[in-house]
Amino acid sequence: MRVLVIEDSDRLRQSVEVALRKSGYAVDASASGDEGFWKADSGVYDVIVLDLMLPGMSGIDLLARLRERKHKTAVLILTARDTVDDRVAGLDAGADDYLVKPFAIDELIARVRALIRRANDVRESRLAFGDLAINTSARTVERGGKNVDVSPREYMLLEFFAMHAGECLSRSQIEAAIYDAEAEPMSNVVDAAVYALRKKIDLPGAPSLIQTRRGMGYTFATPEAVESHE
Amino acid sequence: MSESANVHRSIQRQLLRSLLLGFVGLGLLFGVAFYAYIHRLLTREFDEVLVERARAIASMVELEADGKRYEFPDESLPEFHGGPNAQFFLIRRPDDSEFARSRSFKKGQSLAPPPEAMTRKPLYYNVTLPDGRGGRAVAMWFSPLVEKMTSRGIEPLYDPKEPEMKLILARDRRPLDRALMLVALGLIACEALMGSATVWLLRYQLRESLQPLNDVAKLAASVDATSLHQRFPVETMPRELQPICQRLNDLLARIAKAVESQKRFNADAAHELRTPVAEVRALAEVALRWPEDADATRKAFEEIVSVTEHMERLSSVLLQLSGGDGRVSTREEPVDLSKVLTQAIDRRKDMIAAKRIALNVDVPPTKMVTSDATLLTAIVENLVGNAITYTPPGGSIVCTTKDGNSFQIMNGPTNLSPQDLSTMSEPFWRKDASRTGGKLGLGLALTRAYLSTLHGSLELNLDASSGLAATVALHANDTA
Repeated sequence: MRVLVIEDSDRLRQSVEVALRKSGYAVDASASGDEGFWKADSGVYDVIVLDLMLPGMSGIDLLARLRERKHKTAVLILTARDTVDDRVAGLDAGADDYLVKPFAIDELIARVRALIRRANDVRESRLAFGDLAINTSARTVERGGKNVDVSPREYMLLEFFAMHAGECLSRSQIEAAIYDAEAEPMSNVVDAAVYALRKKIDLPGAPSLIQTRRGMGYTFATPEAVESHE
Repeated sequence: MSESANVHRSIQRQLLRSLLLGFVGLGLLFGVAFYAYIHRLLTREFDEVLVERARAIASMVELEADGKRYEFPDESLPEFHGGPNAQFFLIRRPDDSEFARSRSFKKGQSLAPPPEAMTRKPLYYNVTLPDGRGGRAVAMWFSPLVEKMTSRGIEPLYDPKEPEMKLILARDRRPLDRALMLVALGLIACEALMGSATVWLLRYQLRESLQPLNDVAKLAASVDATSLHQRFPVETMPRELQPICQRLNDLLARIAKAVESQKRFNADAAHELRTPVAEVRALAEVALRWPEDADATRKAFEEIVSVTEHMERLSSVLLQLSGGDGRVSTREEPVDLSKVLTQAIDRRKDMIAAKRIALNVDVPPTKMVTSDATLLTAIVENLVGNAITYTPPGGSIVCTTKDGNSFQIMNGPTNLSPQDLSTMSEPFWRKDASRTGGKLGLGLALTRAYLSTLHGSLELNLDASSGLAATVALHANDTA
């Protein structure tokens, strides 16, 4: 899951960036409205954390232009303005949530998590595929009631698969979702990550939950694969 | 002392007292005068009746020819016989010996003589009657008739040569006293009735007239910080109260404006503090949540220190602003404006060089003004700092002194709009809406506050070609 933070205060932006990255998100950041819009326009983000008072393009303008260009990315407004009018203006401009400064980091992360669930039409924080269960709030994975130890990157990949269960995901889609602009993934990094994840979550002898689609990418949790894991 | 006497002064009571004193005083005066007039009238009438009677008695005295005996037919006048309503008379000869007295007048009883010497005119005076009642007496001279032999026989005639006798007639004066008493009582009753009617009328009228004053007081008492939009009615007020209500309305408007601007300032200040507080909280929470990275944690603490330094600066400037409305004590002294200006510029030499700003300081080497050195330095530092910050690289700054106690700092070109010009003196204004970069946005607000303390003024002018001109006039009150 990839998050874009657009905030002009260096300290705040860096703190939010660190907190989100430590929570297992791929994070990109931007200090100005113009640069932020340019990044957001790429469409690879699941959530954008947006400050309203920005040098250059203002947060509200940025949001309005994003919506104008039919981007459906969830946007969380982060601002010092807290009157009802300000909130209404922000939400009316197309924001999905609104958080007033100062805020608790935990709340910000929980809201980002909720926005990601909502964007993927998932209501619960626990996702189950046969005997495989993913707890998105605790970021833990269980198989047959036993905890599976996964690395943050592996978890990110699994969660991305789980959010798009049954869809065919290309290698570049997967790469964009789990690597931020700072990482420089090698060409076969997605294949290597999928290989590592398969080893941890699949039952020995049964078909893998992650099916390779030759020339197209991967599909997670097809009905047959889930059945074989029950 | 006059102040303590003023504490409980009430217009209503004061008006009531003076009006009442006037009315009752006039009434009393009129009553006394009227009584005196009636008293005189009734007494004169009473006296006239008395003297007529005395004359009638006198006309009945006839001396016989020998001059020793007389005829006095008082049998026909029963009031002289005695009894509870008896009247008295006494006739004396010219030598003051008693000539005759009424039957009611017993031997041994006496009647007081007139209190003053008798003239030709009858003399009236109050006496105590022989039976003890209060009475009124008249004393008069009269010539008795003398029996003379004429051709028609014996006839009573006047003899001018016959010496005059003195007649004193006294009668009960109680009917007169009663009448006078009635008049007095009637007057007193009238006075009392009129007095109470006047009190009632005055009180009613005063209450009615002063009601608008009470209304104003009630309304004034009901105004508090939440109802400053209230206004006193002016049109419906009596003419005397209209200017007061107008002034009160003006005052309310000014207070409302001040409160509004204070509220906005407080909201802005709180808003200003939000970002640094959010920074501190985020830094601290991240460091607490993921403490493994010692370097990151130390960096977070360093950042927190630097944010709190910014907050300190902000709060001390806010304090200055809240106390800077003419209450700062200043010391007027000759200050070298040229020196203050060149020092402010020298301190920023590096920035000027880095931005390649063309500087033109057109100030006489020594330019003395009378001002407070500390405040003037702060004002100049602020304006020079602003000019350098907002001049783009390659721009120019011109400092000139104008006649008298004023100077101008002009910088350009500028990307300020006329709209910015009207808002840039407000607290927390920055050209850039974002809240980062370490600037507080309070410089111009502070400059204005300092200048108001020094009774000076700041004028900002925007010119498309030359840029922004900030003109400071010190001692605007002296030149005015």
